[in-house]
Amino acid sequence: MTAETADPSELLRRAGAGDSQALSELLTRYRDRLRWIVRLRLNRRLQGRVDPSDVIQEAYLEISKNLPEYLRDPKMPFFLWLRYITGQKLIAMHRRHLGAQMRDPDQEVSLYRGALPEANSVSLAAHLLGHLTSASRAAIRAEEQVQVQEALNSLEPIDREILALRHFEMLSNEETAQVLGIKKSAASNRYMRALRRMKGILAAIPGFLENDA
Amino acid sequence: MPDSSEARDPVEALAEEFVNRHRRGEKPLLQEYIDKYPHLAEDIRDLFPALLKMEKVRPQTGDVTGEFTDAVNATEKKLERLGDYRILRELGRGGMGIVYEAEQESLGRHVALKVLPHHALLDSKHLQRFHREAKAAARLHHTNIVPVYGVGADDGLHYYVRQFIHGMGLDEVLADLKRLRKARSKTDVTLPNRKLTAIKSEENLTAAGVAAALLTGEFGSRSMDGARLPDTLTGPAFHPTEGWVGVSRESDSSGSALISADSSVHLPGQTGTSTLTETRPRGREHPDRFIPDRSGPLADGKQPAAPASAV
Repeated sequence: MTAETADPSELLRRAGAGDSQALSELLTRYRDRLRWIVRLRLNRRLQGRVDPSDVIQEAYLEISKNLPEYLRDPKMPFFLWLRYITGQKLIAMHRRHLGAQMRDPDQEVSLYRGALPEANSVSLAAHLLGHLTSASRAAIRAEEQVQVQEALNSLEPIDREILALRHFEMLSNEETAQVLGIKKSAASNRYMRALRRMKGILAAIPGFLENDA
Repeated sequence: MPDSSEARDPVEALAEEFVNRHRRGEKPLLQEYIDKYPHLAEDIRDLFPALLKMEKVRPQTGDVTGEFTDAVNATEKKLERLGDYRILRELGRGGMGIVYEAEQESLGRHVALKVLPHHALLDSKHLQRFHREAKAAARLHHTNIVPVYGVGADDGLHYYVRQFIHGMGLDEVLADLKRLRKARSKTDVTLPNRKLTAIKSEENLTAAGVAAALLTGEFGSRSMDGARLPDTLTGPAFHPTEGWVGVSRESDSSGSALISADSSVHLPGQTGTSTLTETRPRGREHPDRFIPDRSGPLADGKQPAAPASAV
């Protein structure tokens, strides 16, 4: 996160002046984060068919093309602009692959990316993992991811979205407000509402909210 | 710059700070916040454990709890050569391994190389199954069965080698057929002959694709994860949304290939054999699925031959 949070304005200025080195440095900074966003929002059925890197590649092409225009009048912070373009490419990718059956990629959140475990998710997850030593710990984590995922998917889309933005995309309240196009106070209140609902669901799972502090 | 005049929920502001500290690797204590903001203690106690949980389940970069294929990627990423075989590209992957297109350099021929992932070897049963699959396939000799060239191990990776056959993935074939069925149902009654002929020739193209898919059929190996269909090497396969997919091939009297495919023939126990049969797989019929309805007349006015196993 340190490289990402450093002020990008100098690099941006150089990139805007046509310095391709500066642009690539700039994009490299955000690559992991964008890749993660794509993974998070990629439809289950496209897993393995679509490589998040391809989505990002397409986004970067457009970004380099449109950078001068963006810099003339930045309507949002640079990272959110990258995120926006990447989101557009992701939607296009869904449309291409899923056509009419397409769901808005924003509607699904996948924390656990394996096949959804059936009877015994812990054993299955252990099975899928490469490293024996960390297998059981990771399996427990996978189990928790599945439970949170189920909880998330039972929420209203807006609640799910705001929790995903805050916790999985790690956006601040301010960024979340910008992404959703609402006031910071509204974003703050909606997040709290979503968190309360989430907590209500998770608290119903015996012992689930203990032992993490 | 944060606008301090905006009325944020005070608990939310604390939550953001708490989570940010947590992300920086600090271990902020609930109690610290409870002591500092006693008037918010109830919410802190109530909600912050959920915050931690949300943070905990966020998959990390390089998280081993990722997609199955990611775990495989981590070990197989750099695969460029296996013995005599130079890896050209990955064709697809499933629960039992990854299939590559490769060149057998000594003989200068293209092959399909199926590699069992490292970690699957942790279970000796998998290795046994892998060898059994190779042996079973090697014993078969049929025009519609891809020949097995060899089986081996190199650098701890077990693989077996089959003829490489160009074709399209079964998922593409299925999508194709679905599309054709739609086109057909729209045009069945009034379609001028010319157009029908066009559709028919398109079907023949598809037939070639299905035949190719059949030839590259994988034997057994019910996918452990079902997460991914191989792109090009697909025989009877487990499809994440369609269930077990079996395909059979029939000929009509005019000699052009007719394809009948059952998108969701469930094949319980079909783990050791292929379903490369000359007849339509018996199973539940799903009329809503993609198979073109053969009850209509063909372009030449003939009725299509009844599938051999029709009951």
